[in-house]
Amino acid sequence: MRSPVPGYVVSVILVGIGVGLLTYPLSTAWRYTAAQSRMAEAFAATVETSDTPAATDTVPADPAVAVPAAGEPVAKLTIPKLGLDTIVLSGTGRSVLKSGPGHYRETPLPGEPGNSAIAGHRTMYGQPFRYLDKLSEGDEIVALTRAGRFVYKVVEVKSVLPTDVSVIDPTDETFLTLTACDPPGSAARRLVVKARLSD
Amino acid sequence: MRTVSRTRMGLAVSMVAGSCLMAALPGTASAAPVEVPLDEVAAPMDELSVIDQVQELIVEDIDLIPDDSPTPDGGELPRPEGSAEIPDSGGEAPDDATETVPGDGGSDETPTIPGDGGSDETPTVPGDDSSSTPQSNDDTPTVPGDEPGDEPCDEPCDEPKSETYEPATRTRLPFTGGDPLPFMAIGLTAALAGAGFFLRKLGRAAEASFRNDTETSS
Repeated sequence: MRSPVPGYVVSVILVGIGVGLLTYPLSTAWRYTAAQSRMAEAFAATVETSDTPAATDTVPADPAVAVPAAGEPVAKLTIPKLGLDTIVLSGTGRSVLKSGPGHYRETPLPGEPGNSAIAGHRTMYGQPFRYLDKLSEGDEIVALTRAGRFVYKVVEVKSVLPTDVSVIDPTDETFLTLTACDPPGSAARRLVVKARLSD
Repeated sequence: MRTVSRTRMGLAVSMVAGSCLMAALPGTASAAPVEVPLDEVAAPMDELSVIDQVQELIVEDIDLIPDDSPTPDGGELPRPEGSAEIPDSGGEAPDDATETVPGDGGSDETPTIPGDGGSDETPTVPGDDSSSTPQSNDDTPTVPGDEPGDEPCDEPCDEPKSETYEPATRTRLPFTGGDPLPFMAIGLTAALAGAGFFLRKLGRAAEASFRNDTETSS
């Protein structure tokens, strides 16, 4: 009679793999939560130590200030309608986006003149932009940066192809553009929410 | 026979459960229908979300041109509104101190080629029979490439460059998808299959024990 050990080993390995794969989506959410908690503390410390005007005027970009390193917190994004309150990190690399929404480094920071753009996951990794499609014209998006608090109002929600990078092109007016994959769970298109700085 | 039936039943249940979950993959369950203008549809394959994701992952993993990196070729790129200067992307930026090609129509004060009939203020060729000697004056020949009136540069005369924004090198908006269903479906299938193997082994062991007991008692 054959030893039963190999069979048990196989079953244990299969169960282990299964449990690992089952909990992987949850682990991405845990990673997001942990990173956000860490970044929120770091960002709060920098905001508290600076003068934070409550005005909604734009602030000119300071050429002397270098782009924050990838992964550093650059803003706190709040969307009251969605109950979203998240820290935006610098950069849109894969590792950055696993920890939170990422600011397109080739665009101005929120509050600066021009078209500031932020990308975020719609599924997994905390799915901060999961319900971005629920936004409609007039909804508020608030960005808190080291330069101040800026209130934007949604002017457009649309779906574009992933290659349509024109949505983050520079603009004369001050916009905030949010992008995420669309539809949820697919990478076929990108959902784009465009908001204009409120007067 | 009972053991075999149980094993087959366990495996069948595992496979059916896995198949059901696989059938509920993205694009059929969670995806709301999206109206896509015909002129924007790149390819029918866009609808296959799993393939899309794999492609995206491959593209992003290769990461030949990282999203957050400057352009590798140093080319001149459009810069965003408000940016004072295009960040130095590694290319040799032309500036006022770049060399001009002699005879390229530059300023009159650039050294002329000997014998080219240039101005009297140019230095003469050594050994010529001219009685005049090079004279020192304000129009002394300058280093090729110097512009008239330029201050001498001890330091590189590059203009200060802003690093406020990175150059725009993007050709695709970043991948922000990722569907948990495939992971969960495969995971559940593996877990159920593992549990099936485990139960099969337990059943065999129990059956063997029962037979031993029966043979011993008889």
